Amino acid sequence: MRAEELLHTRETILLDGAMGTMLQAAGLPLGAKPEALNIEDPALIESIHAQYAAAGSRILCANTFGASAHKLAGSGYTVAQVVAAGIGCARRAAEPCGALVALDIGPLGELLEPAGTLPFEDAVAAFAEIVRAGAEAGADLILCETFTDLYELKAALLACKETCALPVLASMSFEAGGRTFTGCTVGSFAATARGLGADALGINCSLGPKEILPMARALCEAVPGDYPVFIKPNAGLPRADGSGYDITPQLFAMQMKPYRELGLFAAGGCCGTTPDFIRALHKVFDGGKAGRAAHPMPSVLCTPVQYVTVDGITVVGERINPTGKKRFQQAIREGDVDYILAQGISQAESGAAVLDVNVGVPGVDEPAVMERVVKALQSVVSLPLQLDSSNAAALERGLRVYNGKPIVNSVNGEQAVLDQLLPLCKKYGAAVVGLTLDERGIPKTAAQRAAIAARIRDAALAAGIPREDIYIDCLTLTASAQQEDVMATLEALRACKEELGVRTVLGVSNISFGLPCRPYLNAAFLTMAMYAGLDLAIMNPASEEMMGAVYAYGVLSGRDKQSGQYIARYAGRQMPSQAAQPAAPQAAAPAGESAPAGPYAPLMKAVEQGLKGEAAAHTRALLASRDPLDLVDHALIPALDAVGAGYEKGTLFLPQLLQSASAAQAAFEEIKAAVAKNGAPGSSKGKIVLATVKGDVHDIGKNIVRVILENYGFEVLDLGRDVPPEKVVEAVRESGARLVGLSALMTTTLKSMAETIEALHKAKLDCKVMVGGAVLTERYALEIGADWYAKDAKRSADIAKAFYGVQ
Amino acid sequence: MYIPVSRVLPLRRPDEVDIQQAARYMGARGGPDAATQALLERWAAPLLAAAAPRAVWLRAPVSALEDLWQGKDIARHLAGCGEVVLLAVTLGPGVDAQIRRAGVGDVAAGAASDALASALTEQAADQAEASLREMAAAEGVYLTGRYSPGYGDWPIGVQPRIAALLDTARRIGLCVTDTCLMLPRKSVTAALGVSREPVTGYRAGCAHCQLRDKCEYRKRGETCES
Repeated sequence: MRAEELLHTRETILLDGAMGTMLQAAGLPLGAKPEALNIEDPALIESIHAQYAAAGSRILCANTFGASAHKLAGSGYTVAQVVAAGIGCARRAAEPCGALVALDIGPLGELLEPAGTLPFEDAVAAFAEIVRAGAEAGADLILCETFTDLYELKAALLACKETCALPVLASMSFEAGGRTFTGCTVGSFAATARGLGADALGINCSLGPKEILPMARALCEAVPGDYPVFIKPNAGLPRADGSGYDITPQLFAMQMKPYRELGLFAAGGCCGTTPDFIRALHKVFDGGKAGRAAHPMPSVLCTPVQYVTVDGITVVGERINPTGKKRFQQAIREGDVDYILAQGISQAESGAAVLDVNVGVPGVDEPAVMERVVKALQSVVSLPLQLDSSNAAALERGLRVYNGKPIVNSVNGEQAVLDQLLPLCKKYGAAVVGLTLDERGIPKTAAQRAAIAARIRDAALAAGIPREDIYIDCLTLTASAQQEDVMATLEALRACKEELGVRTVLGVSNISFGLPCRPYLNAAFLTMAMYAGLDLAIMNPASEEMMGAVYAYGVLSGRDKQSGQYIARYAGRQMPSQAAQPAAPQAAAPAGESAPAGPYAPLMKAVEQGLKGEAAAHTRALLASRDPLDLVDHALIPALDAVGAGYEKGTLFLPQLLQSASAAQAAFEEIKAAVAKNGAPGSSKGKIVLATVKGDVHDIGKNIVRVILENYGFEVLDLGRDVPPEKVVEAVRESGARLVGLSALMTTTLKSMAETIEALHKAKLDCKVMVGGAVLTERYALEIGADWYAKDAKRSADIAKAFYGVQ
Repeated sequence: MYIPVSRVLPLRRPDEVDIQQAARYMGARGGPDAATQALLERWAAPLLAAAAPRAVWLRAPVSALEDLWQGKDIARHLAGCGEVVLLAVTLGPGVDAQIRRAGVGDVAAGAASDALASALTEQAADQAEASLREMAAAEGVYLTGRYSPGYGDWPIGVQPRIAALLDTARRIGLCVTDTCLMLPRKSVTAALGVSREPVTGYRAGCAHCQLRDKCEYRKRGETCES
């Protein structure tokens, strides 16, 4: 029987049990590489497979779990050798009884970015190498198992789907709390892996049948009734004395009985299970299976840790969008990702459930920026993202590196657009927004818009996108210009929701464009739209009027039971209209010992004392009447110098220095906004490239240096951490920076610092290098060719000031 | 044959972060000033919420792990111990993400969170050590203190081997890079000697310390343990 047929048989088929447990019993030493035995002792591996085949396993998992290049390093074998030999062992055992052979793929043993250093595409390539070898060696199917990082599983699934046509089973390992080590939930696993084209989903390892049962139920609820699900539990939990696992084959079988009601496609065992455990499963699953009942599928958007069910009003933060925002455009042009991240974080704190991400600015490489921003955002916020672009290349780059199940904004009724974008959404398992317009523009009437919506829905369904993942945007037009169209939008929305069975979206704030006191109109329109059936409201979550409408609607529509969410948000809060006006920053500094006088004194004082909010407020006040650059020269730099001097003298310490830097950072953000608004070019005191070298991820020190240099008015190109030498060379060449700062924390990464300096020298670039890091010394720094050793951030600023001749 | 198998050691999340210790890691001298205290307190709650401390350990004859004992200091630490406990503790990837989040646009918050996480890592390791000590006491044996790669002349080059022995990737989600960095970042590994007689082990002291020449504590006539 072929693997595809096995997925939908009328009985629960048996998988095999543990390989490692059997090998340990046969005397495999601790920490040894079991995969090498495929070549060194194939008879042993084949005999274990044969025991499982004899016990009734219909799918034998080849001994290839750890066959990644990283894990095999130092073994003397290639991935292809180990995989081919492994598939061969399993095949010889499988043949006599007609069992199938699965290429078994486990995690790579390296953490992916941003938690680790392995780039996503490198992970895809590493998995593809294993998949190619397995397919060539004749595997019947692939089992990706024991994954704990959803991102890594995504890399594995992409590699499988892009490299071969074999069916793919995907399984993750959860802790008792229902999450993996990285916080991934069962629901997020299901939504993401199914979207990426896994043919069956399962849970394995970590726990015994009893502990896994509730998670298995949750998994079954998160996939359609006819979607194959499988389970491979451990032989209970580890015994306290380290002598193995705590349940017998009989107990294992007993604990597996409740799984019958789940209509599993397959069941087997993981750590601690043996052929006896598999044999004991016969009487559990004999007699065929009752299928699971079909059930309505929820509309889901997710990241590993955040599972958002869209069923009624859900707030999508609109602020990551450069349209009409000069400071934002500047941030994108300059690659100032921190600015964009701050927008993401503040929207999450305001209560957004999803973040819209639009980075389209004329003249920038939108695909590259989209990828960079998606990666950066998901490293600091856990909300699902709505990738907002009409550029297919940008959408694909974003979809590829996104961790979870995103939504694409947007397609429309134009056939060319549908043909181009729907296959992308399908491949990456994304939900999709369709705008009710086509090559003829936006239709006037609700009926015409609903007709386009129907066309989009049908095209999406035909492309294999499930109905619950289709969202329709009936388009908010501005009330000031097209007043009569407001109701048409809402009528179309209602029709889509009721007649087409799709989810709905609106960019709400557009309604009030050109009118005063926009929040009143936004909130009223939002309320009307919610009543018409709006699901996703793209809006500014910092608008309390609109958030208030969302929470109030929850109460009035009965969705917010006992008004719990409303009360939780608003109990004890004062209405904005009753609240006192926030006090303006005091014009003069409070009487202090040696408070300097003059207009800049309060700002300087705020920076010296490390008061972020006050520094920003004083800066805003000063900007009304003064040149932004004067503020840098006459307030920020003198204040930072004073703090630096205190630090050198030992009258104040690193925490104070850092808090001053943060306050100056806040002031600087105000200055940048003012400069962007005036359209004046920012002035730079000199360009500096910064990087934490390859192999090192300890970047706190480097980040401190960056902020302090920026506060002194230098233009810093921060390449981040784990930066390869060639990237530093390229950045210096492209930017023309004449000063480079490198950091490394560990003894093991000083080597790559030396390599980076060597690469810069080899490239004959006109630049000097300063270096810093905990284990670095002046002598070693000079030995590896650095021009300066900076013992701390203060010193790096002094070096930069002297080098660029800044007073 | 004796096959030591690594086991997960249950840890609970501490109720609070040791703010005083975090202030020290951040570079405060003496007690933190009011602003630093407030900064650390502000960022302690989200840091703590992001932490998921996990530990894994195994016990084996010292002689079975010969390849680990590189350098003089670890050998002195384990002198007189027939067996050794290897331990790995991690706060999990959520902590790294929270440090990144806090640091966006606010370098002091990032540094404070990093220091808090370092303090919390020590607390988690202390907790793990305490339960190992309890087990040892129940059995009537004694443990030395924790000794980690990077102390004295015990090279961090042994880190990948320790991780492989403990199967840290699978048991607690801790990986080691080719450059011997542990990820998630806020993690520790350690060796504790097991003896039939009361032992303390040998503290590395400053003699072989990598940071000997530039250590701020030494310059002030203090040590990092005081």
